[in-house]
Amino acid sequence: MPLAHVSTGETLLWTARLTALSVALQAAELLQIRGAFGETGSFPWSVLRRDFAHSPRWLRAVLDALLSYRPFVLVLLVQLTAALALPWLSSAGWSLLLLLTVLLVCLRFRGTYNGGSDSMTVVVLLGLTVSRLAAQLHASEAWVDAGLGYIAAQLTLSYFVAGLAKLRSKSWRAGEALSRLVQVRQYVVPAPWVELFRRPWASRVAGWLVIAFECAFPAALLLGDEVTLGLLALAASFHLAIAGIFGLNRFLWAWLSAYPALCYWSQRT
Amino acid sequence: MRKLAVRMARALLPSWRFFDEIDPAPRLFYRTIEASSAQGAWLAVPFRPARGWLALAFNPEGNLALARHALLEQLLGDVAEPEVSDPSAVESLTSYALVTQLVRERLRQTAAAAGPAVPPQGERFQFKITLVEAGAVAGPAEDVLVSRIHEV
Repeated sequence: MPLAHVSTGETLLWTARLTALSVALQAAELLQIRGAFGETGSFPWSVLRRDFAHSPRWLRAVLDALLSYRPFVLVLLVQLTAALALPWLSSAGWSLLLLLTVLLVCLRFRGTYNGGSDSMTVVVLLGLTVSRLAAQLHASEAWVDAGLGYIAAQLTLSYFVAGLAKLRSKSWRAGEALSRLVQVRQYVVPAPWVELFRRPWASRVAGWLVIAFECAFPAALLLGDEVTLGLLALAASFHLAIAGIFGLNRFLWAWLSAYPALCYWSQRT
Repeated sequence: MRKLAVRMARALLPSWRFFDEIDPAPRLFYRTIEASSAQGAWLAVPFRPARGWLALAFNPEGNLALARHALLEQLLGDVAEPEVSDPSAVESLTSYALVTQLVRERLRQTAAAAGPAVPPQGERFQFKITLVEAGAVAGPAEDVLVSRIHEV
């Protein structure tokens, strides 16, 4: 379907569907490892609550009520349910509820559980909530567009800023960064990929391809449908490769959920 | 609290700088100390669960391992702050308590896998964090933090 025919309603629906998938997977993962945030796990609330030792008493009581073990499991169940309901319940209240559960998870894990994927999830839910609220209140179309525009802008920045940062890095310009990255132990990169990217030519070529793609991404907003779809396909492949090679699966689903907003805005610029 | 607010702000106002620099990665080691004060060898705490194709969508153990590893980076970041200048200040850090908890969890898992669920009585432990370049082997020269001896 040509992008010129993508309506606001369709964009909001597909954003909701992809966000539902992304956040449902996140909630399911945390429920699967819930022992880790029990009192004998790596993230016990009795230790984490020390971060709030100097906060007002009422705030500590609220956090205890939400973030100790059993209540936090309930928060995750609410998150999973709200995520699954999101595509069918178009009220801004549902996306706001989901946003609040995501922020509670970030708080529970001292700011972020999984880094950038948490950030993109927050961005998408914030934009979706604004757009849905505008639609619900029959506000100006500009507000609906603003919510989707925020998502599209942050998505574009996420690639472009990352590309510029790599371009400024000596190790990326020299083609050494990927070779070192695949040897970082905690990513458990499969041996064939380690062997491939330890070869200087492979690390250099792949590194420069990543820089070129990321720096070129703003073209998705500015040029025609074919460029937009081509760059999004490339981006999705990039995230799929990252998920397979480095185990960073959450990034794939969080970034995909922002793509409908970019498609919507590319037909307006 | 201020550092937590900064971390939460990063979730809300992301910088989008991913892997622009590949810094040496922290590694966590621990050793047990018996009642006789005999010290065991330094053992690495692994953050490397295996993954299959399903991990493209669902990777709970992998993401948990990354979150656990992030605790090491948080601790090293906290220790580098100017106001954290002596051992008592280090031990009062939430991040230090969390890494200590991480090692305790590892000891419990190891004991449970080895035999009866009850860990040996009176066992103590110590941990250390090293900074290792990607692909390099950790040695004593890379130790950046060595804890005091803790009770299990």
